[in-house]
Amino acid sequence: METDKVLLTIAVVAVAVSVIGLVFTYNTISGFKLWLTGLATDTATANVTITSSEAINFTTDNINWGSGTVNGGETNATLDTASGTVTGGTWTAVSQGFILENIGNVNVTLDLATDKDASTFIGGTSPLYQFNVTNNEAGSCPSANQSITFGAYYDVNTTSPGTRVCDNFQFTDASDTLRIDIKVVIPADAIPEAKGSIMTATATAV
Amino acid sequence: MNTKKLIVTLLIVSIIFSAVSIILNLSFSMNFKSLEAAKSSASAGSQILEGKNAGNVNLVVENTPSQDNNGGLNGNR
Repeated sequence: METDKVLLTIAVVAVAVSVIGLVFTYNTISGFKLWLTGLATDTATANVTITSSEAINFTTDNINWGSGTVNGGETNATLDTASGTVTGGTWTAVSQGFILENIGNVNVTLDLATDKDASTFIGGTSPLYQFNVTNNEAGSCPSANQSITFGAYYDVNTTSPGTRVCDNFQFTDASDTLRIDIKVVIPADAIPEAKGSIMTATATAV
Repeated sequence: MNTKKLIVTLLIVSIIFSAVSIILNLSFSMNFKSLEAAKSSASAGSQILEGKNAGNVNLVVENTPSQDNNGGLNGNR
């Protein structure tokens, strides 16, 4: 009988402890719910911002005809990368024009300027320094957005930013490159020397 | 006999309360882990593209034979 009392006491204590533990656990969890902004059912958000980037790149950036002279008896020589020919002179023919790529992630307008015109670049009597733009990849500059006639030669422009070539130069990889060909006419009386000129392309996001 | 039944009943109740307490604790722990996972963030870095925007045109004009000829022929008269 005495044993039963002891056991009964222990059992009552055990129940009391369990009840206290249960209440304490419940209160603790309720308190954390108030602190936290989310539980297992809450949602997480991943945010990504893509910054627009306007960038162009001359993937082919050098045209070099090397050394040469105007043939005897000729008034001038014509060097043309579009046709890949040299007529009336002894320079090495170049058949590769500049390749200009839109490497950004937005369509851009494109202007072309040079640091020298025909007189300051070539010199002599009636020199010529011209450029000609074509789509290297179809649709790089859609027909509706061509500001000049593609495939036709134009005198270079030394006034910044230069001549507007395209109002909507595309950036998608399959159609984002233009070809710029150069033609120079070297008069027989041009001063013998090394001659160089820089063409600069300016892009502005549409 | 009644005392023993009461003791067993109390122990069973105690076990049940303890079990409920354990379940609540486990549930809370699992929720807390999920919340940590939900806190994870995703980010994307930025890349600045820089290209070459200029091309060079070069050539050399050499002296022509006529330009090198400073003398000419001096024939006998």
